[in-house]
Amino acid sequence: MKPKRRRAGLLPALLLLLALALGACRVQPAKSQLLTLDGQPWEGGSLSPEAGDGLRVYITLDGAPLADLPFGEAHTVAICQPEGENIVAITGDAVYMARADCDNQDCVNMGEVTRENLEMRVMGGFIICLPHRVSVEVRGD
Amino acid sequence: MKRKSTAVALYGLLIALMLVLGLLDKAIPITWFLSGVIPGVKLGLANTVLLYALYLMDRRAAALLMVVKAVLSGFIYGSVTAIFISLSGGVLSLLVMMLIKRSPRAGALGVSALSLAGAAFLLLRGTKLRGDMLWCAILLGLAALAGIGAYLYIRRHPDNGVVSTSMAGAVAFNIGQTLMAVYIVRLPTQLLYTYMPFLVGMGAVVGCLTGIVSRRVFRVLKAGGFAN
Repeated sequence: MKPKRRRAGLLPALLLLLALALGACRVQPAKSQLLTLDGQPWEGGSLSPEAGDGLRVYITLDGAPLADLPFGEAHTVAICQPEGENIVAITGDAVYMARADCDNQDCVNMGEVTRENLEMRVMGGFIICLPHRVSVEVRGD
Repeated sequence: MKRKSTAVALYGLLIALMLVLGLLDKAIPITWFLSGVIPGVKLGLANTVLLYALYLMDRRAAALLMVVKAVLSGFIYGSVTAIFISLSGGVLSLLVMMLIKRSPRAGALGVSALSLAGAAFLLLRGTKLRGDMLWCAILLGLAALAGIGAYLYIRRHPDNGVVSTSMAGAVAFNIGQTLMAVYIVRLPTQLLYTYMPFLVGMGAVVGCLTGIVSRRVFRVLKAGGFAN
C-alpha cells in the first residue's frame, strides 16, 4: 500500500490568497491629484448645479466624488495623478474619455455616452479607467 | 513516479502556453458586435490549460498554474491591480471548477439557471431591449440554451464533463474579477445591474466554446499518450 502523504489543504490556501488580495488592494499610497477644467486649474466640486435638464456627469476617484458638471455644456476635464492622466471630454451631447495614458486603453475604447444610448449600453452611463481608478458616470437626478 | 525534470519541463511548457494564450485572448476582440469595448470580456483560451491541469494532472497543479499565470501576466502585460483582479477571478473559478468537475450535469443546469435569472432580472427591471442591451438578452438566451445543451450532451456522454466545467469556470471567473474590480475602485453597485448579466451570458457562451476546444485537445493528448 502506498504511504499516505499529509497535505496542507488546497481550499484554505486558495481562500487565504483571496483574503490577502482583498486586503492588499486597499493599501494605496496617499493621493495627490490635480484637476483642470478647460485647461485652467480647478478645485473640483459642483459646476453650475442648476443648469440644464437634470442630466449630469459625475467624476469620482477611488469612489470619492471629485467633480460633477452639467451634461449639456461643453467642457474638458483633466485628472492628473502620479500614475497617469485622464482627459474627459463633454461636448454638449456626448461624454467620452478623450485620452488616458494607461496601458489597456479600455476607457478610451469604451465609446461615448449620449442621451440616446444611456439605457442601451452594457456599462450603463459609466466610463471607467481601472488602472487609474477613475469613474465617469452620466446620471439624471 | 515521474522524474522531477519531466515535471519542471511540463510546468514550464504549460505556463508559457498560458501566457501566450492570454496574449491571444487580449488580441481577439470578441465584443466587436457592441458599440464599445466592455472590459473584462475575453475568449479565455488560457483557461483550456487550466482545464488540462485540472483533468489530466491534479488540483494542486491547476492552482499553481493559475496563481503563477495571474502574477506573471500582471507583471508582463498589466499592473498590480490587474494581478488582484485576475487572482480573484482565478480563485473563484478554480473553486467552482473543482466542484463542477464532480457533478458536471448539475453545473450545466446551474449555468443555464443563472443565465435565465440574469435575463429575468433585466426584464423585471424594465430594461428596454434596444442596442447593446438587445445583444445582452440574446446572449443570455444563448447561454441558457448552451447550458441545457451541455446537460443533455453530458447525460449521453458522461466523459465530456469538461464542457460544463469550462462554462461554469468562465462564468465564475467573470463574476469574481468584476466583484474585485468594483471593490478596488469602489464603483457604485448600479453598474452591476446591466454589466453582471452580460458577463454571465458572455462567460457561459465563451466557456462552452473553450470547453469544446478542450474536449478535442484532451482526446488528441490522450491518444498521443500525454495524459497519465
